[in-house]
Amino acid sequence: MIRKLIELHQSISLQVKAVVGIIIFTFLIIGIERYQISQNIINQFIEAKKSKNLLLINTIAPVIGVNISLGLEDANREYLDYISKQNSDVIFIELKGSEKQTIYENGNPKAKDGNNQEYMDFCDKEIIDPVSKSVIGSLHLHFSREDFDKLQSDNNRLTLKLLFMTFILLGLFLLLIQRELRPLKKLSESVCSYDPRLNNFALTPTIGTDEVGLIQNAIITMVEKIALHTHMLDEINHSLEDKIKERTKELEEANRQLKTLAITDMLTQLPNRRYFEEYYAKSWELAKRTGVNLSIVMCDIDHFKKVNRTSNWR
Amino acid sequence: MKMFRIEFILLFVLSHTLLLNAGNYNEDVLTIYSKMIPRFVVMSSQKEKIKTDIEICILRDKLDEVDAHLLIEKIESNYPSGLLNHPIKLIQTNYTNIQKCKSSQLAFMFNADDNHLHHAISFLQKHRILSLSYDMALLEKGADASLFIGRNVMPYLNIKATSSKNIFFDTLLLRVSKIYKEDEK
Repeated sequence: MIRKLIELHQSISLQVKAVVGIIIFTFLIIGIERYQISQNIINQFIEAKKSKNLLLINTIAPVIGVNISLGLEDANREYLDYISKQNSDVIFIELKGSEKQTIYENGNPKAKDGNNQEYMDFCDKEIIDPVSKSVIGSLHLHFSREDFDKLQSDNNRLTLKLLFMTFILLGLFLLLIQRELRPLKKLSESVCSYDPRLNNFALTPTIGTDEVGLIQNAIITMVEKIALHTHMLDEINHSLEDKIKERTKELEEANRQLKTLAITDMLTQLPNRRYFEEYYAKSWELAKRTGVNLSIVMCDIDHFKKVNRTSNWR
Repeated sequence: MKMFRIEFILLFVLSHTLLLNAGNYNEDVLTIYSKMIPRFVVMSSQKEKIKTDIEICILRDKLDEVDAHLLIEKIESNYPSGLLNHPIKLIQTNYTNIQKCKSSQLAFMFNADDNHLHHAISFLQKHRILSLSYDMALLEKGADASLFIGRNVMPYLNIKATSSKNIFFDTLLLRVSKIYKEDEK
């Protein structure tokens, strides 16, 4: 498995690796950064909202407390109507007495108990009698989520815009990287199709001093050296071939002479006994196979000793 | 027979007078005052004068005795065990016996003739007693506080008068109150 993965890794081109790496890196960085910024914005917004709402209810509650304790319920109604009018994000106000009876209610308490809350419920506060410090009621404020939703939607829109921009930039980057790697590809093709005997390297030295240009010039220098050495080797080869031919010819001649010497009598230059035996064995086998009659003629020269003694005695 | 007729006429006139007088003051407003009066003491610098009891003086003419009683009953009903562990001591007296109010922290003034009012206001000024009047028109005459009854009801404070007595109100009370200005009139 690991070996296959290593093989797969080795089979993927550098361009693909670089592009995939950069895409992953870019999306990771942008994703983490956006997530952090979004969370910060949302948290800060919620904190700000919470503070604002708490400030509001902390301002309202004592006044309501005094009014209730003084028995000025009409003043409370007027005051809460005013608060509701002045704070557009307050969508529901409910004031309850010490026995949970509703004293005042304004606005729409929709989605009050649902999970899908339509309001940001930061503020439930007990109403305290400013003199006796006893609980004399409770105040519930529901705040609209409208601006929170707007913030989230703006944030999401910004994230999408950033992603879109990233896609475009990555596309441009891909085009650039392809354009930049094209000479490398061409160089690779030229190297692959290069035959030192044909000396067919297509590229010429470039004036570019970037990495690809440097590699191209280095390879061209190497190719020139290979061509030079190939030429030298060819010349050596030719010379060696000629020598081998000459030597072979000499050897063949020597072999032929050796063979002749082996079956010829040196004195008379006539075939010797070895030749006769080889020839006789061959002829005998041939006669046996074909059924042809074999004749042997024997000649003897009289007084040959005399010839030997007088002409060639060793 | 003639004697009986005169007695009957006197009784009729007296009972009608009492009934008419009882109608001079709005019961709902008296209810608000009954809640407000002891709290005005503890929500002002007058609380420093409290020794054991919250002492409240109800100033009225003979004519308003019934309403004064009604107010006292309401206060006692609202604060049966006092306020902030202080029992509430209620003194009801005629304007002529205002000396009884000398040690009070607050005096509630029912309507009266101008002489009585001027005398009472001078007395209360002298003894630095917080004065609360049923009728907000008395602020013009120097009462310290009253109830503003307009579109809604709220405390009506005569800061100029209270400042001269060195009496100050709790900020919360100031927030829910209307401030009386002489030039507004």
